Amino acid sequence: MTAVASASVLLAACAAPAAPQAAGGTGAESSSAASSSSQEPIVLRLHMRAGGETSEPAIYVTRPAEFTEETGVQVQLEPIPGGEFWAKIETMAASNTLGDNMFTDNKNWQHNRAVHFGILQNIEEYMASDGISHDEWQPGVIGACIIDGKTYGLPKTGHPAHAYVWINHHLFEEAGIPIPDTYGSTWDQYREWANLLSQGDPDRREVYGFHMPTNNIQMIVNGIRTFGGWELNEDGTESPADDGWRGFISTATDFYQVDKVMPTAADIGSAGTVGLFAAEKLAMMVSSRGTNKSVRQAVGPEDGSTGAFQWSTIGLAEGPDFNGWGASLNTHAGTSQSPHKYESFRLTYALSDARFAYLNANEAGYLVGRTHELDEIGPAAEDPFIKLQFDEYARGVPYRIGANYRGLEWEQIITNTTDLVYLGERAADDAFFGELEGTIKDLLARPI
Amino acid sequence: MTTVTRSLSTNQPAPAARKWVGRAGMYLLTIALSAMFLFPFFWTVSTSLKKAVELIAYPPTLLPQQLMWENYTRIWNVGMSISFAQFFLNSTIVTGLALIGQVLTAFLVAYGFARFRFPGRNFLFALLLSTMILPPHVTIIPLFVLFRQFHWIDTFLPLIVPSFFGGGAFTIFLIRQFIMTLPRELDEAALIDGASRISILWHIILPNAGPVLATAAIFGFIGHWNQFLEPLIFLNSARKYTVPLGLWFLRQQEGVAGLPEDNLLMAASVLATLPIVIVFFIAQKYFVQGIAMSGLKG
Amino acid sequence: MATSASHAPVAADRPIWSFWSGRPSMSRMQRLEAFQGYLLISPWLIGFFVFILGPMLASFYYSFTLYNVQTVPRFVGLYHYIYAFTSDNLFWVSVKRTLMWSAMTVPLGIVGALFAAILLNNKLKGMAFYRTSFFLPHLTPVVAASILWMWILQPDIGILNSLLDGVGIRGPKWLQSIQWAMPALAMISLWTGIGGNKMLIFLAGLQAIPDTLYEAADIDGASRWQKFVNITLPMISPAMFFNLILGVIASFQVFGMAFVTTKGGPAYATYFYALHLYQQAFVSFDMGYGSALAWIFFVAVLALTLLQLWLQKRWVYYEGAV
Repeated sequence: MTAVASASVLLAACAAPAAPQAAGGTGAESSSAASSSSQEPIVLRLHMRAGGETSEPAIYVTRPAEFTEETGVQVQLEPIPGGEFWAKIETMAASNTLGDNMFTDNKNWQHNRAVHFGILQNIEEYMASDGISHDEWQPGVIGACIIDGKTYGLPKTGHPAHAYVWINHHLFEEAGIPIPDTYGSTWDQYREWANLLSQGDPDRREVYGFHMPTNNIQMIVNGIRTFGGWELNEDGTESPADDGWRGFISTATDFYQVDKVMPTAADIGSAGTVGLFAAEKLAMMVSSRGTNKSVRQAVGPEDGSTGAFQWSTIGLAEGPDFNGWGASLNTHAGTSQSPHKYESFRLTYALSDARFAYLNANEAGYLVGRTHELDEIGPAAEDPFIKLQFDEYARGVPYRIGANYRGLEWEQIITNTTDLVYLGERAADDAFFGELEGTIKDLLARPI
Repeated sequence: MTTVTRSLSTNQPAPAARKWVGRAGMYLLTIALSAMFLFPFFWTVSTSLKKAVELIAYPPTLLPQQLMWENYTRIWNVGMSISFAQFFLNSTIVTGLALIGQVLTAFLVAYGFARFRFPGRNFLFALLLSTMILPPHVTIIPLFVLFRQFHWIDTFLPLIVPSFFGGGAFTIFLIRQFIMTLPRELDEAALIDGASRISILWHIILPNAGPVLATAAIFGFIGHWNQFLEPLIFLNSARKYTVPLGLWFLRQQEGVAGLPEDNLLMAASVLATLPIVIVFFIAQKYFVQGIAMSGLKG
Repeated sequence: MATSASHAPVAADRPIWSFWSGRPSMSRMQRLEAFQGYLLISPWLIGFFVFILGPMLASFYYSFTLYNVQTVPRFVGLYHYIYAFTSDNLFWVSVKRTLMWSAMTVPLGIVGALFAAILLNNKLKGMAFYRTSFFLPHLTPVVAASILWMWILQPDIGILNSLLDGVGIRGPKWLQSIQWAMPALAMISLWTGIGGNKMLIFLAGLQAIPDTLYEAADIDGASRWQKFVNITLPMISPAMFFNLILGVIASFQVFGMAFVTTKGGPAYATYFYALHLYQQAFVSFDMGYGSALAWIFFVAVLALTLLQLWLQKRWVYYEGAV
């Protein structure tokens, strides 16, 4: 009888692609069974950005449901609008009403700021006792979670953000440009192609050749890095206007003002760049991984089999002094205010493990940043965009963090100041860069 | 004081014709101004009933091809675990309770200022008036810290409780001015008859106070319903948001890839404004009456 | 609103501290009345201390500290004030923007409101309808008005630019243009403001002007314009004064519209003082600096109001003032 039972369990385990789970799982089950054996089930409050349960159900609906089945611990979503997320989190932390887990991101150094203020929970001990090694994730990705030798949160993703260009094959063919390879394109080529691809009067284009979101800090950091610069100096006290800053901002200014091949926010309108791309009014679109799903929805599959145009994704150009893409980290870290420290750690891991990677890749089409992810995600590994992402993830280098964690103000200064050159009010000359440097230095010198 | 200078009128067309031209001009201007004020509303409603694809048409069409009432039901139940119905409920609770507190306590306080003599009354009343010019920014940070101490952050309490403490200088002022227009003799006659002050309030002042209380309630309703800064600061969870916050929250949601969602936003805006418009229609005349009663003319 | 001292001295005229001076010059009746009076106004009085005076003193204290809600306040003296005036260029940017905004919207708002009130003061047919249509924009929540105007002002597919296109004008990018963002917001503000409370106050003022004055002027043969300048304007100058004070103060506090539409951009074109304060206090959680900014703001408002009160003798006409 027992042989049959254990055989059927084995069969079931082989069928489900979640096999690697078994090793770390047993420790969890026993301890959470112990804690949940007392009266009511534990409910973990998970703070996340509003809209997630509809746009990313694998993360916020499917996996938590599995987690509850495995551990008996329930997960309650607490959505917060994206624009106010961190403001609300800090408010709640200050009023001791914070939940058990929270989404974190590091593009404005917020993850690190949260650590600085003691909001997040260090999980080194739990990782050690449950036998979870940092090697499960790629070094650039897990590196962003480790601060002063302690680990805070585990990657839901640690992606290179804006490192991809979507291209419309039909427009390329019309303009007589051969379809570029996945790797090896250059900025000079982008400029040349954009000029050939743009159609119509320069002041009121019918088709724009190129777009990159110059007011997005992830794009800005990647742009600086690809032109050989760094977004901050090593101790986070200054943003010297090095070749990276000058190269990126001057290039963007040329695209906007000189060649007029790039639409401004006003030109894009409410349908967004994906809308423009789908309407064949934008030939090359730099964006982040999530855009792929949107483009597939708006246009159709890459081969044009549903009657729309053919398209593909290529890697963003890496200049000769490329410093690595900014590794944009997201986690669902456990908070220090949570009364269920071990359970919140297990949830953090559940939203970062191989099973999670499988669900996420197959639904959303993007990766977590795990070392052996291509083996863990089953059929999704065949998708060429997944392969491209995996390669780009390996080129991720964690963000440099500003000394006083005022990342939101830093981003605001950069976008508002560069607006002046992008909208043609000023030239991107030495005086301009000097002022930008000075303003940022003043900001980063303020006490925290 | 300037006096009207005596002058003989010359070269003026017959008074009747001038009056007619004048009146036609008045009508024209009034109608034009009305149209300018109303057009955006018309445009909002029209957009709210359009299909998403119609929104990107250029030039824009004046009327929707087909009345998409389902835009409204979609907004009401917008999914994403938070619905506009929830915002409405929150606003109703907050506004309703705050209004009760405001009108009730303002009535009592105004009675005190209007009918009672006590040392420092004028000074305190001047102090009350001066708080009308106080910008909320000076107090909002410590209030945030204070409410945090009480653990009231992310509850409705910071939005409701202060209304039970007089509910704002303007309301007190309005009611006090009104009470002062009622002849004191009535009060005094009742006092001689042995009535208590409270029963004077209840039996003499209150029956006459209908219009001013209605005005106070209307202004209070509009004020609380449309409040944005305080709910923004004191409410954290999206499911506790009041209507203005909810509208702003919807604005930040991303739509389906490639298609704009302005029609839904317009529907939400209409829903957000509708209760106030209805209240206003029902209680129009009290508005101007209320201002006139406050004796601001002199 | 000056009280005239033409009656026998009563308790209300005495300074507040005399209540405890112990002199037996108040009768039992008066004492009872005073007690009841204080009792009745106690909700407001308590609220004043707890929700107004207390917080004001607290924010004054915070303005001299480094206070992030996660930690305890650390005293830093005048650091924030010095920083604001000397090192924070966003401070001066926000001051300039706010002053420009005031200059743009207050005069237009008052003139527009007066104009609207004059129109409504006629006995035209359908007055209820016109009054409603004038007032309706004012009833709209700021957020809703901002959202619907964002749609109207959309550069490519918005109705305004398409109407302009129809007459051959290439419309600007409105809220996304550095030059036009503030005028665009001013448009929204005037749309919601002209038919609002200011207009009602003017209307009340206009309706209170006795017809006899106009009739006397007609007898003297005064023209429309002369009647306006010599009767209407002086008689509504108290209402104008009231609107001016409140209008200026409200314009300094502009926040909601910019927060929802432009968030201070593009390139700080609409970066108002209240936005700067919000950013410092509730995004960066630099509450000490936010408090300092709030107090600078309050002192400026107070000074301006006192200035206006002092100047009112020169131009405001009070009927029946002694």
